[in-house]
Amino acid sequence: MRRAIASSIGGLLVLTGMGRPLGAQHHAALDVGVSVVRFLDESTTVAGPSLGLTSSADGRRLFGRVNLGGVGTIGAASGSATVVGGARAPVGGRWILEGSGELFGVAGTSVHSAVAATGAGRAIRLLGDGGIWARAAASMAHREAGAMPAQALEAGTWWSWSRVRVSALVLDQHAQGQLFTGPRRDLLVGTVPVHYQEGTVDARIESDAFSLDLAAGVRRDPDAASVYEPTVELTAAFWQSASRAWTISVSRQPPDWVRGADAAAWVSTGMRFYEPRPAMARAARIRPVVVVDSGDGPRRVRVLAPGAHTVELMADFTDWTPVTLTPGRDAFEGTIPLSPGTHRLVVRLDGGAWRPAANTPAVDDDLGGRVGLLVVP
Amino acid sequence: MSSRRWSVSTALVPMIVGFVTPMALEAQQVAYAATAVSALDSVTQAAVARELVRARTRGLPVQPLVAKVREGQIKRAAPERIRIAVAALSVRLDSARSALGPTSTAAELVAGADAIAAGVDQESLRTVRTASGARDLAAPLGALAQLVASGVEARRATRMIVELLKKDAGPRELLAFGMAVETDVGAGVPAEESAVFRLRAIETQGVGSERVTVAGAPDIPLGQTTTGRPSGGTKRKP
Repeated sequence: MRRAIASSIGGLLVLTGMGRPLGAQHHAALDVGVSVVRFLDESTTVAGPSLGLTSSADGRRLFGRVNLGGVGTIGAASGSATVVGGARAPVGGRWILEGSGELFGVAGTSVHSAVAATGAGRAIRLLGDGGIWARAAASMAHREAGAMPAQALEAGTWWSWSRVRVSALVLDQHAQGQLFTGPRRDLLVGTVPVHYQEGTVDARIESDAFSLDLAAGVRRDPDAASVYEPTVELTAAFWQSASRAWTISVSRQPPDWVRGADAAAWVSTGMRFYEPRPAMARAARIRPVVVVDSGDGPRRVRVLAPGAHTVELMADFTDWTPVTLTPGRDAFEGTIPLSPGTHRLVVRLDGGAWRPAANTPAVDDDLGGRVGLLVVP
Repeated sequence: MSSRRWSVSTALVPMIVGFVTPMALEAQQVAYAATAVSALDSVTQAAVARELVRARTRGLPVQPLVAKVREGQIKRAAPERIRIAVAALSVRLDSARSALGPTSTAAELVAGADAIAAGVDQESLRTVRTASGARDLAAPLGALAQLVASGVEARRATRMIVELLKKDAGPRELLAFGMAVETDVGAGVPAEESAVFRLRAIETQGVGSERVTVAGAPDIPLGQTTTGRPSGGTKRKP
């Protein structure tokens, strides 16, 4: 029984260790809570405290993410880790090519360790505030039955508005499944090929201090007990401070044949730390543009930052003192003495991080940060 | 110990002011330099003072170095980091002057130093100096720094700036060019592709066109200018 529970926990971690969509440039979140999980194939239910840590960085060319998770129940504990890294490069015509790799591992007090490595390539086409992508991935997992390869083809699209993001994808997956028998499904019989198609729609809706993530889809697997299996996940987060939120999550997932997770339904609740309020995250996504009016004497400096509530500017011409700009009709502005020549400046939206404006190329400030180069004629 | 440190600090401030004053800085700048540097600990003060003295002796502008101290303080950088930053800027200013010539203005040297920080070599600075003739170099060098910082290869960016200078492009055209490329790059357009496109656009419209009269205005939206980060690609969230 302990083995079965631990295996189930390992499967849960596989599910919770999966990645997020590409998001903010730097992201970190710590989830602490309790989960109740029902494994559908075994009719087993486990409950216990859970812990999760996500940290990601998304630069112009490189991106990476680390997920660590752990959960415990009476007599068993298990943990998993996912490391993802990749690079992307624009190739012209608003096309972007992306290559990425993922390493996944799980270990527990009485569960066999399992690892999976995935390499993937993705072609992305930007279209307005969204785009489309096509992706191919190949995986190799090592579980009880030994090496288990998998391949996937995927196509998707996404669109973003200020407070709503929607994405949809279709997936064709080839993998290997392990067959178990016995009263506790712990006797390995062998492996079988698995082939299924899946369609999923993801949506994120947010206000200043609330977010709702909803994912719903269906999997078609002719060899499964149910040819069509639903996929549902709903997570609501209510921010109580700038970086602390109460979360509740409800989910039902079919088996993940690539990483080895059993079909499960679960309810989780807890606190999430370090993830900024949606209002702050939105400010981080805004790409401010600095415009300096021509003329002699003090110049009017305008910052175009649609959706921002406050804009501050700090530069060599402000003696590196933050200056709050006044909201105008279509921009935030201020009149500042500004001599011709090159200047270095950074801006801050809605109290977020200081950063270069989108139209000022960034250079090293020799102090561990980046500043934008503004040249005034 | 603390009283000794205080006495060392107070002794260094007049020394800095004394060295800076003969540089014919305005009284306001002298006070500014003394205030900025006096806020440092005594060890960093002494090191920064040496950098200021060295710069003054070599005829380099001191004000950008003092501004770097102020920037480091505001950004709460470690004193040692501030000292290194001041020394690095001093070296860049010196390299810029050596490439641009001893008669260069302070604004030209600052622009040259920024270009070097972005990845431009001294040879490219000399090329721009030659192509500019008697014109002020601050804008061409600033635009060059912007292009290279955006990702255009330094020699290619230099050729583009020289090409525009030969067509009598003014500071506004040069700067709008550099900032437009960065805007495109932020929207996912490759830097060199954007630079070629923008250069052709300026040549087609003619230098002096009314379309490029405001520094920094994203006048020709080749790419998307507000959002555009690709998202999606995974089907579940933790």
